[in-house]
Amino acid sequence: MSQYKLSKRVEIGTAGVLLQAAVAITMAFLASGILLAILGFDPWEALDALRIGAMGDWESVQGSMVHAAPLAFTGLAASFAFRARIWSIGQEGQFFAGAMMAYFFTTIVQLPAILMVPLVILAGMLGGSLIGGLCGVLKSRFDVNIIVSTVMLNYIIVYLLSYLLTSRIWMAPGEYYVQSARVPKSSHLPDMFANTDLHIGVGLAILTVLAMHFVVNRTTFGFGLRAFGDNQVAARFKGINPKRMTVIVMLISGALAGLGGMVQTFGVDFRVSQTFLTGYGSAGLIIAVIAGLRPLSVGLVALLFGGLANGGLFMQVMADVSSAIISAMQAIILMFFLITSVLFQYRIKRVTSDD
Amino acid sequence: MTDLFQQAVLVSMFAATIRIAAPLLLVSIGELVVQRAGIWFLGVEGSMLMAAFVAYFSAVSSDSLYVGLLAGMATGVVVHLSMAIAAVTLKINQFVTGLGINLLASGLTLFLYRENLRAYDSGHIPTVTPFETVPITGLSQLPILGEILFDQHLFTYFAFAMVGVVWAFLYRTRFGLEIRALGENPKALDTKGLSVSRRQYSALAFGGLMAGLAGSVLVLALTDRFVPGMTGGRGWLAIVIIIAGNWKPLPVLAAVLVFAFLEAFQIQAQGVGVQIPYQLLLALPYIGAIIVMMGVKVRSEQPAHLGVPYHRE
Repeated sequence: MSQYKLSKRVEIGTAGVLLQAAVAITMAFLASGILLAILGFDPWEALDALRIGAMGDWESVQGSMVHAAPLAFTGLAASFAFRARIWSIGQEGQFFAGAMMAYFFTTIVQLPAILMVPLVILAGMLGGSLIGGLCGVLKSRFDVNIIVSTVMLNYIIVYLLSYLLTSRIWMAPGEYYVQSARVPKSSHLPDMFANTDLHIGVGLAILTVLAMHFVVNRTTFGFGLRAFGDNQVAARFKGINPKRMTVIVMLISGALAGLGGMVQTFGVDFRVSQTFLTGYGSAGLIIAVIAGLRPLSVGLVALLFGGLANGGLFMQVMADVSSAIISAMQAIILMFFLITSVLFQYRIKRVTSDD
Repeated sequence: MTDLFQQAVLVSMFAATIRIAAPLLLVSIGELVVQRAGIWFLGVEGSMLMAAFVAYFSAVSSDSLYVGLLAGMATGVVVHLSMAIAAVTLKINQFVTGLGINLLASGLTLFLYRENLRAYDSGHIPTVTPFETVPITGLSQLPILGEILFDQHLFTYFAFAMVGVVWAFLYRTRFGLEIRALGENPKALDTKGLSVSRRQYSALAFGGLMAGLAGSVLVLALTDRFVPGMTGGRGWLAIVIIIAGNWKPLPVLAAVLVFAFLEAFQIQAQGVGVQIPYQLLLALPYIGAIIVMMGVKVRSEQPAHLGVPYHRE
């Protein structure tokens, strides 16, 4: 006689995680479809418009990749900090800071494109890591909870941008909308290939995904990072200084998010404004969790979310569904992912009554 | 400025402090009980926001403030209980779940707000007629203090009363002692045969009631409509307030008053036309939160099992 028994898995393999993500995403689409139906939309029409907008043709695939690039950066930023069990939710503010710092540099220096583009890239990293590093220092020097400092700075930075715009320091004369003047042409991220929309920010995102995969999994620093995340006390015995580690992780995490803001601004928007920059940080948090904090998976999930964002715009036009549903859908995916993560912790085992 | 004018400004600023304190106090007191029960719930912001959203649209569509109020409170309870299912029953990471609730709330309310507004003419966003203040006969006639303390909304009196009630509950009742024990040593309760999860569910239900009430107060008493993202970090401030208040009711009240004063000051300064960028004034509570956290070193009452799911081994 045999019976079935639930037992807890030690670790879920990559295949398991992918299956789990697939189940969660399917369920989230179902739930979103039901929500749309309740609101009186035709869910098939809407979700089909979403699919066509995201990957209907090569053009829309490119659009999805361009939407995915900033998300990959915020996703990497979140997963890097979470790997060290540093609960930073500051990606939103650091994303703003990266875009703002890079914009600031374009207002004070004028250089040919060959120098200007590297400058804005570095400035983007600088802006994000200043904010991230500040939270790291507040934690290690003053024991200020990272969650609290990062959330508060998310609000503060938005007000700073609002000030720089409404005081007309960054706004073009006669401008009606609350947005900055356009950045100079020399600072635009150039396209990678002729006849595509893929600017070098997309390539930078792919390279950064690969680089972070290497850093986290193949270097001594990455080993220290994971050891620190797993057990801070044990890590201290291995010679890792927790205060220094916190500051370094926050600097790097901030730089990653800042790069994202830079890429979005200098590759797509060419202006800074609150509406242009909002939402990437929180999407990055969701991406990091669904990707299991693995850099390569972050790249894949960012592509999915980029597709959703891109397709959402098309859906708004075609099916008249507000594209605000995309941020709701992202959170719904996260919730289903969390629920399925419980189910996938267990496996069904056949046990014979003899043992 | 004449003395009389100065006095009027000060009185209205302190009255505003008390008024603004009410929703912050309600949500903080609820979160205090939740955290004392060992649940590290970061989703209060989302719970409040969903409650405000539901309270507003229920009040508008039913044309009754009370329907809105009840619906808002029920929403808070539902959102908090979904945290209970996730954190207590399924033992999912509390940090991630709380965050997820916030993101779900902000995404869903923004989307549903836009879709719901289609039912109304553009430019005709419906408003509610907010609850009036209820002056307390006799006391409200007192010079200065009367206007500051005793001409407030019913919710405000209730919020301040709840500080005492929750204090008495936590420190003077058996059930309160058990709630505190949950955060410190849930195993002790379990070995005595007392259900850990039932008590954590109750704590979260109470927290939801308070957060739901706080969200409803925002739309039904302090303003007259819902605006996406209108909670504006109040739920997060509640978490700052609890850490700053060292998980104790009276210091929590003190911290609430500090933040409410910063906000009242900001409103007053804008009204008087002080020559400071208004964004700096708006950012004051958040800057203040970081400074307060730098100064507060005492964590003696932080529950030892905060955020740690209880597994029976």
